[in-house]
Amino acid sequence: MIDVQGLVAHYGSFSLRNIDLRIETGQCFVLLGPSGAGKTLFLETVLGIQPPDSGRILLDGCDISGTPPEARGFSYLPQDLALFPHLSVRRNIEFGLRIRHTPRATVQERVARTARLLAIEPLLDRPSLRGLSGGEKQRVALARALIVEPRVLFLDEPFSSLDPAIRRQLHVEFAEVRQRLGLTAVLVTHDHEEAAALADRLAVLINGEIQQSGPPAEVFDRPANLATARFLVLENLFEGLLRPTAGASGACEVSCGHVALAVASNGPARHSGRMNVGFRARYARLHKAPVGSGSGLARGCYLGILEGFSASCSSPRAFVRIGGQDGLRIECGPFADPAILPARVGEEVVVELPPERFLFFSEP
Amino acid sequence: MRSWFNWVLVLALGCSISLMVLLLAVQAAYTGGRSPLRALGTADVHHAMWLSFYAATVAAVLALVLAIPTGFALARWRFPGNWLVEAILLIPMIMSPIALGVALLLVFRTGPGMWVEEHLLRFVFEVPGIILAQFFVSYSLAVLVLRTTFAGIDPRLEQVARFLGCTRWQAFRHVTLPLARNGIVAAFVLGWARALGDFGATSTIAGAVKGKTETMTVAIYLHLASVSIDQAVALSIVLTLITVVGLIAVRLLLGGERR
Repeated sequence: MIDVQGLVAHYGSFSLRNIDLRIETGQCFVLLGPSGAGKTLFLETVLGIQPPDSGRILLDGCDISGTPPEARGFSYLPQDLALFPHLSVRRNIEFGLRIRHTPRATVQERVARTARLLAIEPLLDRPSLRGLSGGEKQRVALARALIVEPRVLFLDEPFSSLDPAIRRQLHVEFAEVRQRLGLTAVLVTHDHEEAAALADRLAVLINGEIQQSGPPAEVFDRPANLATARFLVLENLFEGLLRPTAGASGACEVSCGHVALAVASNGPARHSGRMNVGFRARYARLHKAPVGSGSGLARGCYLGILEGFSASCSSPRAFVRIGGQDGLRIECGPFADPAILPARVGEEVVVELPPERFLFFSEP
Repeated sequence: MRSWFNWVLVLALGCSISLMVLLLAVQAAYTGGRSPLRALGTADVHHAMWLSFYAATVAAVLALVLAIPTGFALARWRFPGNWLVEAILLIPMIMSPIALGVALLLVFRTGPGMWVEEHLLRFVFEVPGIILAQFFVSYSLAVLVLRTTFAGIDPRLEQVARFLGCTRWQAFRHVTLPLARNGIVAAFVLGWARALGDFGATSTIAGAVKGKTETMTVAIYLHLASVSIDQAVALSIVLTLITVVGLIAVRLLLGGERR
């Protein structure tokens, strides 16, 4: 288990501030953040490449803050993989074992085992790295990192330069290999999809500070603050005025321009006044508009015009305008098949926004 | 239509090439088709050639031994005044060779240098003086080449090597040094050629004693002074050929590194 306590570090004028994280053994911990958030600085500080200004890094209870990198029992897979260009594929993989003067027979056995695990046996006899595809290089670098049986594997956006198809395939393979070996991994990335695919636990780092950490589903579903909501692309985010609903005891609504959105009263009861509210597009449901529309809609249901669909073929989304031309544009979906939607573009539709799904961000 | 600027470039390139070819051609023309090697047959010339190769080789090796860690440190460390340290280390390359020779002469005529001269090893008007002078002229060049070479090697490779179990020295030995091989050879060749061709610093500290501190460049000077033009030209051609071969080797080595 890695326990990062009150870590402060800086590089130039940028600094990481009071990072507290706990990474359990066997877990894949993902640190997600935009470019320039301090992900690589965090990684390099925990790895021992950069000295921390203050704070402690504990590995299974022992303070390793002053331990040299080679004595920490970590492996590191950087973004550019850093394969040794002067060595063959086999020599690259067995590098860590040769440095440790591992007996020849053991080296051969472990190279063969690791190559089998990562399906790179045909590459072992390549005399150089030239001609290897991006995915093959990725597997070779992973084999080199795994063969020394690290206590923790650190990965710095290792899949970011690959084609989407190969990247997804490697996500699956990496998850399988990690589970089979029971490996603890710490991965930093800016890619939401990668984080969602690989993380057992997720932390969001923005501007040198941990904004939120937890299970990935929870973090994506309920961003803790506005910066996180924006980074995690909370599709529907509006500024409005929170107030009690007139004539409805205990009920609340948020006025966004002339559109009033019904929200659950429990969350925002602690805050009131101007704030940002948002909800995930997948919680917005579309229904066929009733004849003689406009009256008798249930709480949380709004009449709107279906304006169009997003171009994405993997997760098509619909856009509905409620409250007229200067009203709110609501993103809904994704939908497996836009053809099953209850209306065509330009027609009226009812969009249901469950009040309990709204998130509230009181900061400006 | 080609712009006038293109013509200026072509003219400049043409002039540069013509000047260099002229320098080589006049030497070849002077021999009149006779083999220049015939003029190299005397014992004095043999001694001058042997001494030059010996002193330049020892000087270039010593320069390389010091320039490798220096170049690596300059490439990897960023500290205030970094540029100043680099500038100081490059002084012998830019400084007039005679001025460098005078400075060395003064070192061994004062303070601890004089003690070394009197009790440990004699440099002034001796072969170690030649090696020392040539060491200085080749060292700066080697540092310049090696600093560029090491800066071109991604430090991430050394970091990854450390996580695979290497100490800093092992990461340098097993990763950085093999990757810098071409740059190291280039630094040696350039430093060696520079040392071989030095006259000013060498003759100032070691003098021009025939049969003792007579390197090839000193021999050329002495032959010219005694109007033995054939031998002076023959030695000049040998030095020119060595330089050309050295430059081709460096070009191939550094070109290969870039590829």
